[in-house]
Amino acid sequence: MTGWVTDSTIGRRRRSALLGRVDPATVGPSIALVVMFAVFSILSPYFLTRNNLTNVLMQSAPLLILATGQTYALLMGGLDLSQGSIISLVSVVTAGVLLRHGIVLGAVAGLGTGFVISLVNGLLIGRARIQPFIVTLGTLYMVAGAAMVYSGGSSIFGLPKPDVDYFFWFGGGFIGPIPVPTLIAIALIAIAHVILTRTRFGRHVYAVGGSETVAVMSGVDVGRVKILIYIVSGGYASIAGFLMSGRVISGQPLLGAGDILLQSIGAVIIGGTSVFGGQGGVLRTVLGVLVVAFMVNGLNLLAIDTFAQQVIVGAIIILSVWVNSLRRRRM
Amino acid sequence: MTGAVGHWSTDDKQARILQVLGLCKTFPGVVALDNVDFELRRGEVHALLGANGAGKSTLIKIIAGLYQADAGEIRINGRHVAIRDTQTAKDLGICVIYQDLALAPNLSVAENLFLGRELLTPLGLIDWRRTKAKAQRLLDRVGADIATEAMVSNLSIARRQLVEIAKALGVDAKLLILDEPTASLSRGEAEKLFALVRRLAQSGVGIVYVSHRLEEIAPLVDRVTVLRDGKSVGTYPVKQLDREKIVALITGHERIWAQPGGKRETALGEPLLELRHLGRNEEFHDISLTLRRGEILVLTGLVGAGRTELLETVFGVRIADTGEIHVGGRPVTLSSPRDAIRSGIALIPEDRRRQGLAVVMPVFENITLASLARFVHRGVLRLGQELQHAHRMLKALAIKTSSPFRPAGSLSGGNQQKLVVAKWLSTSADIFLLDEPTQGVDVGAKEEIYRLIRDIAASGKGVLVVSSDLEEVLEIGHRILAIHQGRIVEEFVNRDLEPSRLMDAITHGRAV
Repeated sequence: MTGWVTDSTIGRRRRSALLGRVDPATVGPSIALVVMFAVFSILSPYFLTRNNLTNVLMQSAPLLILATGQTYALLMGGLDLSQGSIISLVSVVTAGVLLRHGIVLGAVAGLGTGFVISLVNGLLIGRARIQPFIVTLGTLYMVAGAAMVYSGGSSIFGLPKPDVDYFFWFGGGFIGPIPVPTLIAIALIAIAHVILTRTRFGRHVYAVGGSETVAVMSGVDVGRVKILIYIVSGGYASIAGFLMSGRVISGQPLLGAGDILLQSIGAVIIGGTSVFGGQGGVLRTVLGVLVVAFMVNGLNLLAIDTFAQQVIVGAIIILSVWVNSLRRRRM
Repeated sequence: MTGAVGHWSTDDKQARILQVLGLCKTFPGVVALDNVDFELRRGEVHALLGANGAGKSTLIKIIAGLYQADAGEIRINGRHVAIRDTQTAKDLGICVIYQDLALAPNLSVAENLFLGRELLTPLGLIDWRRTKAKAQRLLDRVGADIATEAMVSNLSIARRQLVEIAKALGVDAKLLILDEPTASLSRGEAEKLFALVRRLAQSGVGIVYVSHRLEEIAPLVDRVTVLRDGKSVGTYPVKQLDREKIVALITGHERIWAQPGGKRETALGEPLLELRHLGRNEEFHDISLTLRRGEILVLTGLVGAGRTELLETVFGVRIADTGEIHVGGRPVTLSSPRDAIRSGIALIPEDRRRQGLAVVMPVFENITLASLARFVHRGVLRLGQELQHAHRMLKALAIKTSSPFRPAGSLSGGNQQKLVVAKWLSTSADIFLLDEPTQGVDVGAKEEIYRLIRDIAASGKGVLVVSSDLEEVLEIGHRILAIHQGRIVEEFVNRDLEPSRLMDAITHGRAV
């Protein structure tokens, strides 16, 4: 039988709960990260150098942003398969408009396009009530195709100065010792975290993911919540696309066509967010991304080829879900 | 072995198909079965009666291998058996026909009859000719005029039930358990089912018959076992019982007579909720009622009488076809729960794990889910205030949990129910709809929930309760409306009300 929460313990508990409550799901990935750091720094003299760490942070910034957005979709029990295609389309539209009209209009057009696609995803899922998997599988194809159509299938190079320098600054510049994309990623993670933990919308995301029926019966406007969720996941993908595009100072119609989408979903899962929705969070995802990013980096330094890396990353995804399910069963 | 049942001598071991001895089962916070004995003879129709939560379904589920007993023994034909899973039960010839029938709707009747034991040709393909012929023979045995290739989804409930029984015969069932088989049948359909049940019993099958409809019992069954609060209150030949005696056994008569109704402590205020001729296709018709401030109005009737549907309509989950809903004297259109909540209506649903609580979410987040706006300042949730409120509610309602951060699903049934009440007490709702508020709740927590309901009414809110638990109805209701087949048939003021009058109104649609 469980005990009473007496008055004297309430204050203490509340304070400790709000400030120092350790999310038990983060323990596994944290240990994995520490072990990886230890092993790789022993095996490779380059691993713990400032150059290498900066490099990893710079390279993982787009994935951090992408996976943070993806976390919202998974938290409501859905997923966003169109993120990769959004990256590609944002890239070519930004570069195409930048070519003639400069960086400001380029950014507005590129990010605006990404926003519109996100809104369409959201409306189809939240208002037309079609399964997220189906909707985003459809937009994955449509948006990937649109990127090819817009660019004629080829990369858009030769962006004018000085705009191209600003463009690059976002994707590959530095403020002091810290890469700009990393700073942007940190800001976006912080915003996503605060929205999720400190706003009504954030709580509703968890409620819809925990039980859509209960959310409806509690007066939550579930349709609106879903629309906003897909605006976040698609909007974050758009920003990631903008940064990636700036880093290569060009528009690439296949920029998001690789396995970055699967890495995004994988990182959220490795972080410990439940694919059934309702449980998880952005900070878990950050850990998940770091595990993937440092694992890939370490294996690269050890000269293990990319195909073997894929085997390892896949195994980590399954292992982390398994460990999480064991932990949940114990509870 | 034919002839009239009830002539078996008790020492005829062969005659006892099933013997249950000292069965115990505890769920977290609830004692579902407490040292229950039960026996079934060959060729007997044996009624298993009891109020909701008395332990009937737990007993059935243990016999069917769905649950494992904590203690006790089960004997089949005098031999001790361990029913580890549903397959073991099937191998022993035990078949249960549940209220929500277990047929695959997208398959044909013949396919369903042989599902999992398909008849094959020597090549390993399905032998359709043999399947159809055998299926036809099974359907003939239950007297069903159904085509073997008919899709199950196109069949009425009554016909699906016949298919289920045919399926049980197909696996040579020795022991057939029927759980509320007539709940959704018309009178004519029910009569046909009774004839079939008698025929099956005569052919030597033992039948356990679970029903709330007492008028079915006397003509159909041989013996009656009554469960109350997880204990068996005895097994009687049906001839020794009359309706009053059965009702007394089910409800525990001493309590009802000790506490006659008329507990109207608060003066009633203005009307809060008014339903005028509300109707929705086949579910309920011409429902008119008025709920006043300070009142506990109870709507009681059998399962399937349209009670839950009515509450869900008032809460905007379903839309009425006809009639009007008035809140605070003004007509309102409720097309979603959001509309209803805005009108000050709260629904505490029967299926609380599916509709009432997000079980993976922490306790405190469940408490504030419907009232989050209260805790938002400049767009930001004040977690401190939210937790403070949650602690206040936990204390006020005596909800037992080790921490407000525990997932709501980890609480016991009674505490989960109180949590749902806490959620709605956190809102400004003043019309409380409660659907079977103490189902699956242990006896101690029941009392607390009753007190809570009285407190809600005493604070000037209106409470509309739906309940099929007679004891509960008489315990809490100021006024009682009996609903039968979707219509209100009788209104009672709960003062010196005899349970049998209520029972008659519910089961026959009239008071005697």
